[in-house]
Amino acid sequence: MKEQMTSLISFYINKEVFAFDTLKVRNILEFGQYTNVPNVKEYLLGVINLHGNIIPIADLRVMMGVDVIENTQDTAIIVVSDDGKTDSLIGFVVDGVKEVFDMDLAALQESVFNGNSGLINTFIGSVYRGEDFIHVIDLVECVQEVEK
Amino acid sequence: MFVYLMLEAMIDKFKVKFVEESLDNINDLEEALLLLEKDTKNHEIIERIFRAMHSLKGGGAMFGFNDLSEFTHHLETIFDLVRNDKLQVDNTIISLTFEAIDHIKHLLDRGDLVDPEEIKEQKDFIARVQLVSETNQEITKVAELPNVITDDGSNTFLINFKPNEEILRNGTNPFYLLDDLHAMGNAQVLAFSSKVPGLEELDPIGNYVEWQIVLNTSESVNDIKDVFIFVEDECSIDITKLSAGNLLENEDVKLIISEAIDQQKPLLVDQLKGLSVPKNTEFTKSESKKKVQLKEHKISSIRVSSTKIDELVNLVSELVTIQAQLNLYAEKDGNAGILSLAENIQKLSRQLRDNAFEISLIPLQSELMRFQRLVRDLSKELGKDIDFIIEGGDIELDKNIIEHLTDPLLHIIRNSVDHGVELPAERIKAGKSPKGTIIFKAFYSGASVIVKVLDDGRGINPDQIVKKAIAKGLIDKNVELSKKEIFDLVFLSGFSTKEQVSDVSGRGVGMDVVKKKIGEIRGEVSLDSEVGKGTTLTLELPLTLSIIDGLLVKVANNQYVIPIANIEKIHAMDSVKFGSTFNHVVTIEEKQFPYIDLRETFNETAKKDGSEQLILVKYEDRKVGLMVDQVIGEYQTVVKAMGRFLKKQETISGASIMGDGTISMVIDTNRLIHLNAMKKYRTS
Repeated sequence: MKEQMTSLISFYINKEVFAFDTLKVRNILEFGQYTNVPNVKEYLLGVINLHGNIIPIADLRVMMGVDVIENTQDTAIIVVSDDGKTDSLIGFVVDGVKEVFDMDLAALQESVFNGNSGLINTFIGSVYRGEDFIHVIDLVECVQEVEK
Repeated sequence: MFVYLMLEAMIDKFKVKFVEESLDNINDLEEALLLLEKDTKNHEIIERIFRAMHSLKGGGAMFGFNDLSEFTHHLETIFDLVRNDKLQVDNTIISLTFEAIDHIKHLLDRGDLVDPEEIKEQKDFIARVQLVSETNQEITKVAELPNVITDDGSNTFLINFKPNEEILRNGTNPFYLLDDLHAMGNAQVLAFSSKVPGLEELDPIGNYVEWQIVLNTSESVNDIKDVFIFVEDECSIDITKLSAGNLLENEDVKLIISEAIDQQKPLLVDQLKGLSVPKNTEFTKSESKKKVQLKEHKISSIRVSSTKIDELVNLVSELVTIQAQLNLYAEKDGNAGILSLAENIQKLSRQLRDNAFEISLIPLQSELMRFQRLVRDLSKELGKDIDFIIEGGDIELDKNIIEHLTDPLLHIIRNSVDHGVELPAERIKAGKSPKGTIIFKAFYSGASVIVKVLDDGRGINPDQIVKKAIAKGLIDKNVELSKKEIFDLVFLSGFSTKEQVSDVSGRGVGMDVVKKKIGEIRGEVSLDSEVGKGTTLTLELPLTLSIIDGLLVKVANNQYVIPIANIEKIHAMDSVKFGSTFNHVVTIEEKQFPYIDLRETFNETAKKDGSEQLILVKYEDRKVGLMVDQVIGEYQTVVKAMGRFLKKQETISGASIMGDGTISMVIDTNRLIHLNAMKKYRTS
């Protein structure tokens, strides 16, 4: 099979490693001040001001069903846009960003995941790298969940 | 090759521009035509129509819309005659022109026709157009077709075409034959109508006219005869060759022809034979062409792409935000130099902002043409007689608002024509004038624009609405509703008063869609109606989407902006007597008002220590209080969209970035109160 390289950005949630497609990522920010928005889903923390744009932030940890959430110095916001439009920008809060790496799509294995308590249940696949299994999140599903 | 490609690209660009400009011209044309319908003798309007057609024709030829150019040319002929008082405007002409405009739009969309069916249709249409310009007039001079054959192989013929009285009875149209002759080359047609009898003796389908044609063509006599092959038995044809070359260019011949027309005396072969063909045809031709190309040229406005304006408005919004930050910093810093600089920048950026927003405003007028057309066409189709009156068409609105407005308005007006105004017979029975009226009214009211669509039709019965809403489970049987609340039910999704789907307005899109669309631009819709008297739809729209005067308030840890336009009064809590908290009613100056505790609606922890303030806001025809922790002050703010993921949050219409970079959310009070009120009525 022909090699199909893709670039991924990996991050931690509750000591597990996940990844997004780098091409969809617009910014990585420190987790800091944000403004609450009333009457929205629990994991939608609020909005932040990014270069004059109002961007909602969603806690990916809550979406994944993590019970105990601890904000540290490493906690970060990954700002993504699934269709490249400014209107679709959204920030996901994660425990920490690990690295950007290239991989061959052919190396992806089916994710073994038995539908736990989280809202995100489908993955594009998993890849073994270093000592970790990295689960590649399907951003479209992720974003659809927020939009629901 | 490369240069060629660039040229191609440039021409394509010009084409796009031409289409855009032509659409403007067509708009203008339609508008003028509607005016002409009411005032058929107005010379200014006729001139306007002629000019618009002329630009269409000229532009069409230049950018390769040849069919369009040819077609418009024939149409223009009619108005040229009208312009010169040779033709009277009547309903046929106006209807034909409207139809022709649709055809022109089609041609603009398609470019030159390829489909043989369509080409034939266009030909037929042109014939109809020509029929109008020719039957109303004794002599018609048809200008040369673009592909005139001027080489020396051509000959000039005199054709005597005398159809008998019966020719029209078998469906022959002599004009088609003349068209065919025109298509062969350069023709001058003379019509002689001296045989037309008086009215008493006139057979309406008899033919009494004879023609003479001076034809310059490179085709042979036999080819000319072929034109008349099917009518040989119904007419006498006499073809004589006058000379080689184009005799029509000869000044003497022109004179002879025009004399013959004036005196209605047929041309004789001897008159024309022996006259020579002028040598300098090239020269006279090019000169006459040039004259046509000269047109008025005046630049009073320029065309800018809308994305550029959006970008400008965005940048100015940014600037205003940064400027507010600068002011804050300057005040803190206290340096007199910086303070005065900041002040100047504030002044400038305000002016810049006002200017930029003004640029993005366009008059409502531009869309109204479509509505005029809609009412006219639809009422004719439905057999109704409706006057469509527009007031306040010069009101200007943000182009983004107008874009969102067209579809809902089309729907509303369609409803009025289809369901509102009755048929003439029905109207007479109800003691009304057979002619219905739909009024479109727009006017400023504070920071908003009100648009009303009023009809004097049959109206809507509130009892029927209630019945239907109960049947559909939208409301509880026992709920008592005010008239206004009843009419509001119409906007709920899943509500549509007409049972059967009508061809016109019942395409499954209900008033709920109208409401939603208007809501998207922060507007409000309401309906009022009186049975037998008519229905009024009112739209309240913001002037611009991106900037509002707001009141900054605090609820728990968050700051919110309430649009000042909606605010009636602010009360401190001590002057306010609370009724039972359970009822959410408050007494102010011996009047009771319902109120909404924002801490409660925003799910913040409850707190009542007497420092709260109550803001009375207008909601439709009532006033409702909003309880906040603290009023911070007035604030002019640039409203930004919250993006696609927070659209569900309906009570917040946007957010605004404060001078220090923090965010405050803009409350849509109408929606907030509406949603609160709806909770009361929902059965589920």
